[in-house]
Amino acid sequence: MKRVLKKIFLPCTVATEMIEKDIYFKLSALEKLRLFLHTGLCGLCHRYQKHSRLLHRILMELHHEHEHPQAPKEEEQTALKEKITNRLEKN
Amino acid sequence: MSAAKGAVTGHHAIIREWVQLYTNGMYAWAYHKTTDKALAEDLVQDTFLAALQSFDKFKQESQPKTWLFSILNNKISDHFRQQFRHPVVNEAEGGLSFFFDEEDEWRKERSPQAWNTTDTHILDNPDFRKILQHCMHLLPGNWLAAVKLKYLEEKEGKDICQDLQITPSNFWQIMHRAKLHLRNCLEINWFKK
Repeated sequence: MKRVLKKIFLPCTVATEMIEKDIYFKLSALEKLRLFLHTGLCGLCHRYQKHSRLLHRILMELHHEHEHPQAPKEEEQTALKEKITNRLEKN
Repeated sequence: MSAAKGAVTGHHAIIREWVQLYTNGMYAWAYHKTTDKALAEDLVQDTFLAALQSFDKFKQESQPKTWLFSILNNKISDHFRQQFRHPVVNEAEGGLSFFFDEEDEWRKERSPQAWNTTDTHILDNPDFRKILQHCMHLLPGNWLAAVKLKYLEEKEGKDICQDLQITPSNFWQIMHRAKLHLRNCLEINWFKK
């Protein structure tokens, strides 16, 4: 029965694609309903949705934090400054 | 010395001073955004060269640091735009059949498993960060570029599409495939352990 319902409401490939569409764009009311019904029936896609939303939040935070946890080493910085200064001289 | 030549020499001196003052911060920033040392170095160098060439556009009332970082951020975005258009092909399996069977259902061995976390504090863990970077760099170049552009610039989906000259469905299909792989890689290397 579940299998039949899933076929009617959406295949998992389309459902997971819609989960992404929902994050980056907007779903129509009908799409929302179909996705809601699918994730209600399909535990794996429901789980994927949770993971995908968490990943979205992680990626947002990762790219917008203002600390630099992996500061470059002192000697790398000195070498880079020298390299840039030399290149500037040639311009 | 002519006045023009004198001005150019003056520009050089100012930029040299900025190199000493701001290189560390800019390099750390570029590395943080790209996680590639050689690339971060190139981007910082290019930023200073661009600053020298367009020195006349620098408004003395603004902060040099702000100006340099805006050039650097443009360079970083340009890099990912370029990477999107001319991707380096890698090993990642692009087809959905890697995750789904012929009936379009999850393959058992690659289906999502329960994770023990639901919050982003996990980023405080340096080991997790390493795994995340590792997994991101396994993505094909253009997928990674699309992900980076989306999150670096915090743009709306439709603006990214315009920027990359792709259709919205192209964009969410790329994100779909990228996220499937990223999710799977994180699960294998982190959440399953």
